[in-house]
Amino acid sequence: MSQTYSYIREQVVQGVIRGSLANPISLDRIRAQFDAAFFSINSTVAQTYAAQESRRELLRVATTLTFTAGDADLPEAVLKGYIEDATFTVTGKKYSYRRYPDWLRGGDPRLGMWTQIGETLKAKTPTPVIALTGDVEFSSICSPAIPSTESATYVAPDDFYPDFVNAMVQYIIGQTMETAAQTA
Amino acid sequence: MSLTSNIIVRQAYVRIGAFEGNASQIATDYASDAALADANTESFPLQSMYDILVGVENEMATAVAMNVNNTLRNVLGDIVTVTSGSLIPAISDADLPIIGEWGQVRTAAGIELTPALHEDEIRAIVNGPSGLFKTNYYSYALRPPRIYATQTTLEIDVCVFDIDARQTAINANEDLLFQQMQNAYFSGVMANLKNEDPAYTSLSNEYAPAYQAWLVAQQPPRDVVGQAAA
Repeated sequence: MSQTYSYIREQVVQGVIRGSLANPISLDRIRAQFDAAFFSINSTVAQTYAAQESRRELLRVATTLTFTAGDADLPEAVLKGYIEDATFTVTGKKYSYRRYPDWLRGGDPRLGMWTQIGETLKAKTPTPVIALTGDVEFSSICSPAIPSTESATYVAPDDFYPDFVNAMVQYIIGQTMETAAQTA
Repeated sequence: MSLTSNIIVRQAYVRIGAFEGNASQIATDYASDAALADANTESFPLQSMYDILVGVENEMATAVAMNVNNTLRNVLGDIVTVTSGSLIPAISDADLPIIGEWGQVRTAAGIELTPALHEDEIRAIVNGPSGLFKTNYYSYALRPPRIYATQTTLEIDVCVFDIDARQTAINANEDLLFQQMQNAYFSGVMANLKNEDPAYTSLSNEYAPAYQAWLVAQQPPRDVVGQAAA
């Protein structure tokens, strides 16, 4: 299932109307709140999902990264707190994750290794150990991508949509972002 | 038969005894447009009656235009196209003076805008960080003397009244604007037949309440600014 940004937004608008009958808010104000909070609510609900092992895998997204001289940009949507749950595959071979200090210390050269430092991923090939260049199948825990326009599709797990809508409604009618996300 | 200015004037003249002669002659003159100019009245010659009628129609049009729900507005209707940030318009697209309350504010594609946001909220959306506000907003705010909106180009339904054009039409015994409002016109003209003669004033006062009641019945104006982003 996939829904457009505007479809989700209007679900939130109707939810907020119901939740604020005593103090009605203009619909365009609700929409402005939705736009402004989308990034944060999306991230906070995703963090709530990722924190639960039973739902974390719902957020797994596979993508192909291209490394040059051992480096590639870390995709924005990756939840860094769950970077160890990522898998890193080069032509069928699984590379091992190393925390950055361990990466610097080196390790068994028979293993391909990768690490994350800031917004960058780094990788070395197995013996002969050199900086990786080429494509990598990277599978990681991600928050859903933010649509670029209101008509664009908001791609998220099926379970995620109602939880996102509920959290957004709770936030707009006055809950803190954290409290609202706990309803997810 | 359409309602023209002379139909109103002749009714007023017959009430103030401006037609002379016996009953047959009065009946003939009453039905003759040509006889109106010769009516025997020092106080209210024909042009003064036309002038009064223009004023009455102006008052009626304004009363109608002040109520956004008045169905008579279609008689006065026109459109004015403006851009966000421009001065609140005084002249319609047809170059006619705008009166009364606006009707709907829409885009050229016909999507209605509502006064749902303050101008500072509109500014935040229109001039805010690129990509943050993805929604296509349809709001406007009046902050006299200017109008601000989330859409660039606006079409506004307005009422217009061109007093020069109406003076010309009434002088030429052409159709009055409100064809179904004969008694309102008549009461309005009669209510204005006042001068230093107590008899005229007394007669005029007989009709003033009916005319005022008609104007009031067109309902009071809507507070657009007050309702905006309530």
